[in-house]
Amino acid sequence: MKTLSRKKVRELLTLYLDERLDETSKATFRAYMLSHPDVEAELEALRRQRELLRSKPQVDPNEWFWQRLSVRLGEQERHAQSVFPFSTKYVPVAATLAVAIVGLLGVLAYQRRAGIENYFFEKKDYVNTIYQKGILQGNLLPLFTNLNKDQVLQFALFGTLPVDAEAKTALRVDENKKDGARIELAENETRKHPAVTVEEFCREIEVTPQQRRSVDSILSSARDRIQESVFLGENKSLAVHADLAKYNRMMISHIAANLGQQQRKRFQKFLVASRSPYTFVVSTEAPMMPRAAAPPPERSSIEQFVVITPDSCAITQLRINLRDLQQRVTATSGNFRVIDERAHALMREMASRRVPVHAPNPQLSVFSGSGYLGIRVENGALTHSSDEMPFEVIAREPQAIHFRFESQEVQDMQQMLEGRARPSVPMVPGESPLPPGSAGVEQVPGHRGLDLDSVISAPRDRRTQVRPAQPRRRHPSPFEL
Amino acid sequence: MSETNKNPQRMVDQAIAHETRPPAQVMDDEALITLFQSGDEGAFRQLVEKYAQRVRNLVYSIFNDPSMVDDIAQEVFIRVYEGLPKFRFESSFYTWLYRIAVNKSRDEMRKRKAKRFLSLHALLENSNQELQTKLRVHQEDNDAKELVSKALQRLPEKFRVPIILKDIDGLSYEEMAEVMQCEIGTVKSRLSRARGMMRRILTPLLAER
Repeated sequence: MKTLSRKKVRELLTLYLDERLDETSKATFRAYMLSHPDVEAELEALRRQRELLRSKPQVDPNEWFWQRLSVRLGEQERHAQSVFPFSTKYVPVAATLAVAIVGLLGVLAYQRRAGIENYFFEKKDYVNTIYQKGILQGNLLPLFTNLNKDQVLQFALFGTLPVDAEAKTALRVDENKKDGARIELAENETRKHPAVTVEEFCREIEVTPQQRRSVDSILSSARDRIQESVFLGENKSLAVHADLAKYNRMMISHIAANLGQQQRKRFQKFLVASRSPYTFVVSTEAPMMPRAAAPPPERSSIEQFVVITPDSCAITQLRINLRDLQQRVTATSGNFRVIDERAHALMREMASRRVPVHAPNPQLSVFSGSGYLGIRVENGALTHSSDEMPFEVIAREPQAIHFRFESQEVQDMQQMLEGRARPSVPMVPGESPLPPGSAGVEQVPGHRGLDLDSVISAPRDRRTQVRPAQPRRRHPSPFEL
Repeated sequence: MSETNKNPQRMVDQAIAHETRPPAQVMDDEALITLFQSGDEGAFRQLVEKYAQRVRNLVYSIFNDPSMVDDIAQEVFIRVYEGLPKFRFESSFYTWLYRIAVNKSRDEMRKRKAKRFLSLHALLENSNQELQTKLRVHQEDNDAKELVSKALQRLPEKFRVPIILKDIDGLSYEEMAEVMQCEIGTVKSRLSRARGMMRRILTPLLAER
């Protein structure tokens, strides 16, 4: 019979000894043992070993086992019920000690209060500065983070959003069929609009409580969209959502659609009284009665943005993790000076270059001058979202909506006609307006996000270049950490 | 379990009541556990009395130290007392009990290893042969059994437990797998190796005699 391995024999011996072999295997192994006396001897040794183990002395019974166990169980229960991790007889001593220690620490702290206060004050500022630097550095930051509904209503009525605390810098937008989208970031905004609040507005229009809820809902939805629409990069770059320019008109249109016939008339009067440049046209097919408020459409996470840097501009698709960015900004305890500084730095840089932009097919133009930065996007340059506009919102007067950059635009046109303007040159690959990998920004597959190559590979009519007056210099990536 | 049932005084009262109760009909584990879960503390005592000696022997076999048997066995039953209200009969009571006992013993072994604990018994065991001869007089057969206990102590824990469960307590492979929380294949291989190791340790010890 074939000799089995040592390991196999050991396993079979165990199974044989424990009677875990079936009859056939048992017979085969028995036959194997007959031809291998050493294995049989080993089996005998294991049997003897098992006998010895079974007859091993056992511990003497303990008659008091239950009594002792029940005492321990009782102690266990009492311990579980006790608040203190020690015997209750020590409670007075522990309490006295605790009071004495707290008192002593209190006296010491009082004696050294000035030093302690200074220490924490210095540390607080230091920690806060480091923390905010860490959060803000290298990140794309939303320009608007904490808009209230009154500001959103003002935006609806005038198309203007204050950027800094004193509202001297503002973002103005507009979009219509004739001029396309116009976006302007301007310092020293002198046009003052009456401060209109949602309360006053609703009182003037005499809205019902249900309509008030609809107005609130429209403003909230618009606020969220606005806050998700303008971002500033670290090194003088700006990304504006392509749809931002039409949100103000959309709000007027949706609010009007939620009103009754008389209320719409009051709304139109209100627009005139508050010197809003807009009014809306009630078509004959428009419902006489207010319509039910529709839920705001969901916005896609990948959207078209106009991206401006001192050297280039492009319409591109960005996927921005807004929640992450907003959390980061919230974590800076509302210190948004950094964001304002970025906006002003971009304007200053653009103004210092004084570079009118002309493209062979100028669907996207950027204008800059003293204290302003203007963007014009021709109709057809953008793929518009399918947001519904229940009523057409128009300018009350032809020149009611004027942008500062438009004056510059006229001058540029004159210069061009006189043959003094520089021709635009196609953008060359080399540097990225907003490089991929920036915090909060992700490249869009197929569009390659903010990579300059993706901008280059876009249709020619969707890109243009800001040609600097001075020699080009390499700008560090706006999101480099 | 209700608060009343956890009251220690009530437990003592029930224990006294149990003492004076006429001999109860022998009940199976499941019935006793159901009784305990419905608030009868006396049922717990019956379970303890039924299994205390088996648990104590198991602990003794693992440590070969009578001085620590009761402490560990008590810990085991305290854990059983705490866990019994949630016992769902997914395994038999005694395999669950054995599992707790083996786990407690493992914990204790780890503690002892960490503290380099040396019990009085171990000191006695390791003291010189002359003193042992003076203290204890054994018959030859008893000596052989003592040697088995010593050999058992030389096995690593993961081989000591299966040999105790099988050769001393007579558990089936399936029950051992449940207690050791492993596959039956692991049980077989560990047992096979443990017996081989045991034999290699015992052979020279027995030859010295």
